[in-house]
Amino acid sequence: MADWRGTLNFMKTRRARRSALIFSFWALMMILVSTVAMTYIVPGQTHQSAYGDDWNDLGAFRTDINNMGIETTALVSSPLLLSEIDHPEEAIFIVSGVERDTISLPRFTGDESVIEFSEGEGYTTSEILAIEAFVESGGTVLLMDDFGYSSNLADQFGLQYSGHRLYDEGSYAAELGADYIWVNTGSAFNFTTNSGSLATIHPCLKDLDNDGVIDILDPEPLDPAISAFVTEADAGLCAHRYSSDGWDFSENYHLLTNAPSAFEKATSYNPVENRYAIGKSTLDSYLDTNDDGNLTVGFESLGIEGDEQGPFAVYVRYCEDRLCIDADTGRVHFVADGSILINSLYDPESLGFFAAGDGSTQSISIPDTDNRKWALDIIAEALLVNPNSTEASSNSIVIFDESRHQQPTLFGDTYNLLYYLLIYFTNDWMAMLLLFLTLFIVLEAVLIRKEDPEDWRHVFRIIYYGFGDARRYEYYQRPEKIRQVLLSRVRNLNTLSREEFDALPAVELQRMIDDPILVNFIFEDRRYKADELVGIIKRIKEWGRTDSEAEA
Amino acid sequence: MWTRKASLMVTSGISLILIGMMISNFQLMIIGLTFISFLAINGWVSGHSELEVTRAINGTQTNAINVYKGDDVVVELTVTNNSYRRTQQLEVFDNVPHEMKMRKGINQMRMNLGPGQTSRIKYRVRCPLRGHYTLGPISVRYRNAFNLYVNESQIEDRTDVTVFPQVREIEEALLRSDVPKMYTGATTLKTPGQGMEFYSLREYLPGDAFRSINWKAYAKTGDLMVNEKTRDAVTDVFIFLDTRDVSRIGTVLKNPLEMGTVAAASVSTYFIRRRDSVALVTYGEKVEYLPPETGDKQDYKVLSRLAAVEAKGSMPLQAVTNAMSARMSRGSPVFIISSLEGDGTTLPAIRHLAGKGHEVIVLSPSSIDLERLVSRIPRMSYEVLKLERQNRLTAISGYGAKVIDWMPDVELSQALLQVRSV
Repeated sequence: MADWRGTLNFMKTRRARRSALIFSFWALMMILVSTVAMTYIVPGQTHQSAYGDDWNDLGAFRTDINNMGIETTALVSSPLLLSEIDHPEEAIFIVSGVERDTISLPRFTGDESVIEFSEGEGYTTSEILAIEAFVESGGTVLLMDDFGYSSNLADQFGLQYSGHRLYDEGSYAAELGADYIWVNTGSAFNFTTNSGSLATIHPCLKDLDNDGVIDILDPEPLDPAISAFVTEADAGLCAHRYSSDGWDFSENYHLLTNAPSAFEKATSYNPVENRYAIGKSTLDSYLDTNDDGNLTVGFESLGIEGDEQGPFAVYVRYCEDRLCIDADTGRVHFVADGSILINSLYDPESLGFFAAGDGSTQSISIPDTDNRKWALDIIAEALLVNPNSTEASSNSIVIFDESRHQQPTLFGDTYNLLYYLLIYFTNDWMAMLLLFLTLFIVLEAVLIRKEDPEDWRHVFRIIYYGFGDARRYEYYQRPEKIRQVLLSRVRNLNTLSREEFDALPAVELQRMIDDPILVNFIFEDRRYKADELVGIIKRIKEWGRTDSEAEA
Repeated sequence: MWTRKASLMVTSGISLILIGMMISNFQLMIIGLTFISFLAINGWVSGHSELEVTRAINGTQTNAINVYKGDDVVVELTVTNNSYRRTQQLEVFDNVPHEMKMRKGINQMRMNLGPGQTSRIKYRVRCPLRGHYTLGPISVRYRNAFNLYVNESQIEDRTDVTVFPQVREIEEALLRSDVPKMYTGATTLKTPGQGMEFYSLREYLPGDAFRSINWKAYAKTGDLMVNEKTRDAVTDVFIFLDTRDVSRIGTVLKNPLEMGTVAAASVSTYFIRRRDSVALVTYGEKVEYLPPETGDKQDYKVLSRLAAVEAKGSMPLQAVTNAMSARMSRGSPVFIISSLEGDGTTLPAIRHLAGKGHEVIVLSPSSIDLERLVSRIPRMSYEVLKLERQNRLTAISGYGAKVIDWMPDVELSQALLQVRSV
């Protein structure tokens, strides 16, 4: 009982409370820091990475591009760097799934609001503007995402993601399941209802004299009588269209998607704004707008919201120039499925063989698709800017956006974040201004605060004084004090004790002093002028002066 | 430690890199990187050579030295580079207390010593203030070739310097003055004790000094025998020194405490030379008592104690005399060195001492006149204050004490001639 009371008393002490407070503070700090740090330290589940070889990565696609002699690179910091590309018209920026948001930083808006402090999800406004500027400069963007953070980027081009899962009972890969939906494009180059086929905009399909040899390989593109013998090696970036049976001039794609979403109907097709819905789901498709995983038929009278009926655009092409006629102008390919180019759909054979149950091996079973042809067509369309060559120029580059993917390595995300901040502070005007101001202030601070170690020197310093109490000086000018000093002098020089002196009759005191002025001074309590007091003090000094005093 | 130049260089380097990135100018970035690289390379080249530093005082290597106030001390530092590389830019500084004044030479040097090379720093300092001081440690500062980094270190070589108060010659003044002459130095008594003359031979007992053993007697008898001396009859002289806070009024060199320490040292040395016993009592914040002894050792103790006293506290004199009265032999002379300011117990204390038969000599530095050196006292106040002080001294002399009113500009020997009694 006594121990318990002692502990309780100790807990009430100031020291114990202070210790508890400090402990709580540091514990809270540790929790906060570790919570934030864990976000960046714990390796996330990586997928849709161009540098991965897993079934859901894009390694096979990147390898294909490399094999064509095209330089590929990854952008791990921020798409702000797209503004640094020297030849955007020969560059492709590929976004495959925007898996995470990033921190929001303030920016100048350039309109009446001046500064915008918060950003939407996904890419920041500065990044979206950088991507838009890239497209305006002739760059090609391939954006593949379904439920990620791409909506703001699509919005910039007038397109909206529905954000709901697409089901298509009329067109799915039966052998794989309902998650795998076929998206068929009857003619990928019929952009509008009345434009007809515009396959001539594609260098791998353009054959004006219809002699079976594409113009880029045809010595006389306008003379059907003169043709050429084409080998696979000659085909270059169009090699995927080459076969020993003849050139593949088909304009349709049979694309297999994996759990796709779709674009809003109202925004997916708008020829005036150069947005063309190329790939659509079937009439039997529906968009799971209530996200219950099932087809729900709506009864408006009962207030039940039904799922939306197809068809829906899954692949939309945006052209900077009308109908993408000019080869040097920018274009954006929007696909409402982030996994359309993953290894298992793009090139199932690249994944190799797996152990089967009976001890044998088998490869992944995926039906034939046109995903590879479609992707390589986009590459060829974007990079074949020379009308006389099927090879990409040395300026060609394909950039994979890895800045919005979880990084597999420890601290990879932290590194990316720091790199992002560096790019942000050297590309965004607002950040540049802030950075410039900060640098200026830091330089000023260094100039002002940083001092070299002082030169050593010996200083002789003993000039210090002891002062008396100056307040007492006034007191010693008062008549009462002077009177007291005089009486003490009289008492001392007459060798009287205090008691004897106090008992002395006034007449005897007057006789002892024997100076009428000093006697008056003792007995008259009145105000004295300063010169009067000076005179009195002189008389006191003279009064009863001993020889030794006079000598001193 | 980075110098200002290095700090500016690193901030400029980072700024150039970032601004270069901002405006996509690789030249700027390369210049910035050059700055940073230059700093990094300089950072690797650091440290200084192995140094050996020794200090000699007045020509001898010692860890402690005693001097009198106003004396000069010659210090010589020898710096040797014991390593196999040059020291680069080396700065050596001997830390000298601020209270010491540089008279000749300088206590620092910049050097660049080769392997095995030696350099000497010689300087002379004056010690104008009594006290206990320390020379050292020796500060060493190394700068790299481009003055970007500075390393500082200290070599813990220290020399203690004790500055005693000055000892004045007062023999003639004491002989001519009205100071009692009853204590005329040591006289021999025919009893054993601490003295000079041989008294007898006795057997060695534990605790006897080794040097008192008579080796010839040991050789003859085979037993350890020691010489016993006759006891010298000496007078115990008690010196009371006022170290209260009020005793600091005046300048650093002229104040009641400084004057008092000089007086106490002079009186003490005078009587110790006469083989009298001297006791020292200092009072201020607390009472410190040095029991009566004679000899050089006691002289050293008294001077050391006086070197260390500081003006602190406000202990009344009567409390001190009451505490000490039991230890004071009857009739022994007592010197009270005090300004007598701010202590209402002075009179009863002196009356008490005089009543017990002590010869009391009051040596009182005139604090009013010392105060006048540093403060503008109105003339009228000064005169009244002086009158009050005169009254106090008169009252003290009325109790049979010899009173000396010691003015600041008067030498101690002159002041002692002014002994005043009723």
